[in-house]
Amino acid sequence: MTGRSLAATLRDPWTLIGLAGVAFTLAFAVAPLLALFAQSLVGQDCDCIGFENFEIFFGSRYFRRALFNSLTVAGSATLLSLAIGVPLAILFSRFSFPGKTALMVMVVMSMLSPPFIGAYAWIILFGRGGMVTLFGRDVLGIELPTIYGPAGISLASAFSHYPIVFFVVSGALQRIDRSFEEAAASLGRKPTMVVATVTLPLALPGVATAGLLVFLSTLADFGTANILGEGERYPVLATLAYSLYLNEIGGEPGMAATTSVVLVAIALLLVLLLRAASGRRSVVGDAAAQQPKPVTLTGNAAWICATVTFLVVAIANLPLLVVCISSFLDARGAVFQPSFSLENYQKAFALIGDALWNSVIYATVALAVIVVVGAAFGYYVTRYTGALSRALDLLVMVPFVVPGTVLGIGYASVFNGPPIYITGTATIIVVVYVVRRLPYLTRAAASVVYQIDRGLEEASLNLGARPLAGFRKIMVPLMRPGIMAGMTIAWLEVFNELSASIVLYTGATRTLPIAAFQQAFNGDIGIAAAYAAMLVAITAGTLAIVIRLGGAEQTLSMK
Amino acid sequence: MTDHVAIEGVIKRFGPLTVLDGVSLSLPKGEFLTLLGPSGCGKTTLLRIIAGFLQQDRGHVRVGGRVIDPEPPHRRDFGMVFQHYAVFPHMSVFDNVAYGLRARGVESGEIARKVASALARVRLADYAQRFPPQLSGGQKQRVGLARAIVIEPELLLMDEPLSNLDAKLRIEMRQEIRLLQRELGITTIYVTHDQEEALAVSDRIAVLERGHLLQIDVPRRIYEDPAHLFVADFIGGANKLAATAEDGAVRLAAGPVVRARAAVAAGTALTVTLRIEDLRLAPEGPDWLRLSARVVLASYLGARQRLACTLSDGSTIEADLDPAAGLPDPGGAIDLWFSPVKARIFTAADGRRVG
Repeated sequence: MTGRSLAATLRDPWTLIGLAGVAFTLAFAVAPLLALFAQSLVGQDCDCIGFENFEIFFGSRYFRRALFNSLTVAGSATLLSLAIGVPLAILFSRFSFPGKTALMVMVVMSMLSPPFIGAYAWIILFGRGGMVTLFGRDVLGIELPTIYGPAGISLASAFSHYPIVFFVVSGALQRIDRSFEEAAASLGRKPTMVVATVTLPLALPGVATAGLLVFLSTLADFGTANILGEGERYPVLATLAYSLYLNEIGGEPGMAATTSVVLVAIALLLVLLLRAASGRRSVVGDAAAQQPKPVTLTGNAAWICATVTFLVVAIANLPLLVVCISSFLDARGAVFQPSFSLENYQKAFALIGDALWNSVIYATVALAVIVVVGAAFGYYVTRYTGALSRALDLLVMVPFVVPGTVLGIGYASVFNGPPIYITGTATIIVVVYVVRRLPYLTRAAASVVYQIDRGLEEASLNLGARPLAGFRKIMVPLMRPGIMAGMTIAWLEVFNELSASIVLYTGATRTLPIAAFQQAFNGDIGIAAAYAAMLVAITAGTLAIVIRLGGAEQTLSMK
Repeated sequence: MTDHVAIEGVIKRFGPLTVLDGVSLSLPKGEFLTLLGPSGCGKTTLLRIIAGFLQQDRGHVRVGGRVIDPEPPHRRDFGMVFQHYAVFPHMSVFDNVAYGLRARGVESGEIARKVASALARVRLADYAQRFPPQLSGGQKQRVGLARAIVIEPELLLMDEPLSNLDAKLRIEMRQEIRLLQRELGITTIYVTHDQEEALAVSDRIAVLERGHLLQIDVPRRIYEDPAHLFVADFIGGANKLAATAEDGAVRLAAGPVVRARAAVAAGTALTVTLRIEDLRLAPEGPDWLRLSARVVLASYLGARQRLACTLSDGSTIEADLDPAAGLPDPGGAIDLWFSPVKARIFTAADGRRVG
């Protein structure tokens, strides 16, 4: 696209789309962050500009502890989920063993519930009034270690995030041509050593990406930390930013913004570090790589692999099971009773208000916008090479490193007056959904476009079709499988979104995840279980429909 | 010479598809054998069975008289060179070449010495510290070659190693590979679909088609004395003329009768092949036979000119002629002459050689 005249560039409808994209991301992703940064520089007692807030932050034991907690929890959750996900990915992509397909389905199922539901389920089992805790104390006479605090948060996060590692690393393994491993074998290496010296090093960029995704996600995970850290008892940055924000309404501003800036800075630093590390030595994957035929395990090895995998995946699926079953149990106070009824659901529906309806509407509208806009952006950043396209490519990814809570706080402070006054409306919830998950669709669409021969569009233009008509008739059908995959994941994330909407909701715009979270955090455990089960059921139901419609293959190969 | 490597009745099926249908062949120590055939003929499958990456359904692979079927690839001690190089992108050239030696627990001084000598052999002595992304295709394949020979393998396997290189480099590399193989005396099995490459490098060629071994012989005999119509057609290209068996003779549909002993019943449909370079504009002996032809297209190719003609029975024939004879006009009638000893006779039904 170089060498075109300015007039020709301006006549191209894609230029207009690019400009609109940059304007949108500047307004709804960058501006809230800049506002927070500006607020963090305003002093506590005077209106002077400076780093006073940061001095307070790093000078206070309380803030330093939250920072330390955040890094510890995110770090150990990342290591744990890598320890689970990487061996599982290697096992699934290179070996066959009994029950493999069923276990694969269980891995997908463990993605269905949002992390905070997982945390809540761990409390149902191992919390103070938990079923296992009481069983241990009353029947076995053992006092089990507490689930509250860093160990519990790390464990719950690892079991809810290992599928990310599994799918990213599986994808990386798929792009390694079988001839590398064959070459190693023909040179005399045993299979285990082939994995250690060739397979793993080649998959390392994938492992690093997966690790980064888990770290960012746990760093930002407001719900799990709040439930298992019991709010301010074990503060992490994400929960701290939220509670500071709540306390500051009408009070002293600044510290919520400062905490937010620290959070974003950590995330940004990690992304840049990974980018620098992977840029140094790029191992380009081949999309058309031939995968090795999985080795069929026999005898003891097969059963050991199947059993260990089953145990791990079963633990990850435990929350799902626990939540669904306990939603039908009678609850007395904070303890479930061993008798079944629909009482929880009766109470839940009595209190639900508009939450269920809101969730469905907001998530559907947001998803439609995400798909259309994401497909267009993905196309534009791949096919066009100018400064505008590079800017959009960068800007659209910004929300990726911003924790939802931070984005929520930023929205609350920017959009509560002219020129954009949407605080308290349904629009602000939909917009924050869109902005947070647009990166998924843009990336998914871009990677599909990248693989589609440019000649197809050139032929379309050559035959006289206008640019947008060519996009609609040629590219959209070809991009559909990739978009379907990105859409499935975006739907799961949007429908379960908590950390930004918890900051932005009002009584009228409450959603189902918010209702579930509030009941789980300090409400009725029976009602919480009922809400959680409803969330899981709706997510699972929609996913099943998508898989029925034929998106299963792509969904599995995408993530 | 005793057989160093023997393939015995190997059968391989992928689902309903029989990819190798009872292939047997053997080669003596130090031989360069090429498996040649079109894509889908089973040549790569056979190579991967020998390497141990695939398990055959029936039959055996023997090395030095010992059946190696149950041995996993890493215990077979065969070097392999891959079509897409398979040079480990995360290791330097040195580490790539050292990889097999390290797997064998060779001590580091010895490794350094052997790697240096292997890299010198493939003219990459100065590239030891480079990484594969910085190398050209030809250089990567030289690394692949050095990596395979440095372990001094019992058998060297090459899976279309030159097919990703451009034409000029391909010719250069195939000469290098041949010289290196002679020098080291490594028994080699080489897979290609390029008949010219096969003729140029091999001691012997095994021609495969749809899972069957049609002929295994030295290049000259493969070309001049094909055992099967497919071999005659696939290697070098041949004019195929319809014919019928008579008593003690073969009658071409386009006219002349070839005196030949075709070992088939009179009346059997036959196919006679004539190489394009065996046709002339004038007879060069008393027994030469004549084909009346009409020129369709004459192409000047520099060293020679190629005529495309139609014969009286409507079939087409191509002839490579000396350009000095002058280009005939398209549409004009000419006579094409050939020596009957150059004609090869096959059954039309199954391509069997009968004369």
